[in-house]
Amino acid sequence: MNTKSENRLAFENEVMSNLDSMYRYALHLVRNQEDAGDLVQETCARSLKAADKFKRGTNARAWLFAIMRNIFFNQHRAKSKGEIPSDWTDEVESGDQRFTGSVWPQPFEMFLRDMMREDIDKAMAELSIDFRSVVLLCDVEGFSYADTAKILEIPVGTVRSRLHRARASLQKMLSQWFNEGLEANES
Amino acid sequence: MSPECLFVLDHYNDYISGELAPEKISRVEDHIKACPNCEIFLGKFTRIHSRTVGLLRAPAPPALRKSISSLLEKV
Repeated sequence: MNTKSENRLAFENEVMSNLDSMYRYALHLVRNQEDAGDLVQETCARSLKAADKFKRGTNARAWLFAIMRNIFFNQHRAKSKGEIPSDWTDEVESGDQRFTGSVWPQPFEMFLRDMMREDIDKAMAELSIDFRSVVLLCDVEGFSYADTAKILEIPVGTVRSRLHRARASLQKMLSQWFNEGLEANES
Repeated sequence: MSPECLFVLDHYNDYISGELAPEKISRVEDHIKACPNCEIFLGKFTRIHSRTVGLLRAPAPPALRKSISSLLEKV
């Protein structure tokens, strides 16, 4: 017999439906898959302790991200002197299957996609963690400027300016992909 | 470069983010219909942006999904 409350079930649904997003953000923070998995687990465990207080209609997603960020920074402060590991590029999840745009014919498309992803990972790694954070939260996860500001505990204007500068840097680093006729077959 | 070109340059990031007020969205869209340079610029920027974001959307590993599901069952 299921004894879970409706709120609890709604909360579990929020956790599971946001798992991909949480994992991506964790991966961005810790830069290796094993630690990212641990961070997601810890975030879920912590959030479950407060699950009874969860009310449907609240922004659970932003709340989960804020919990994760706080756990990461608390662990990071405890473990290190503030340095961020630099091997993120090699550890970024390579299982992306969402690149659905049919730009190039197979298998050449696959080859180019992998090359492009490598360059994107390198370009992201060259951004500071502050800039990467806003790209991940606003662009990849679709948070509004206001929600991103709450998660990162910074003003909305700072979110906006960091995002604009980060996008400009990424565009500059990746523009070669769009200057060499590789997208000629794009519909 | 016209004042409307400058308006697009000042607002294209918020336009892409979906953070622009409706009247400003109309102003951007009206201008890019009339200005080939801005249309090319915004089109290229948007293409790079959407490809980059698409490739950054990695899913969680199935093993993690399973372990979180188990955690929810236990607690």
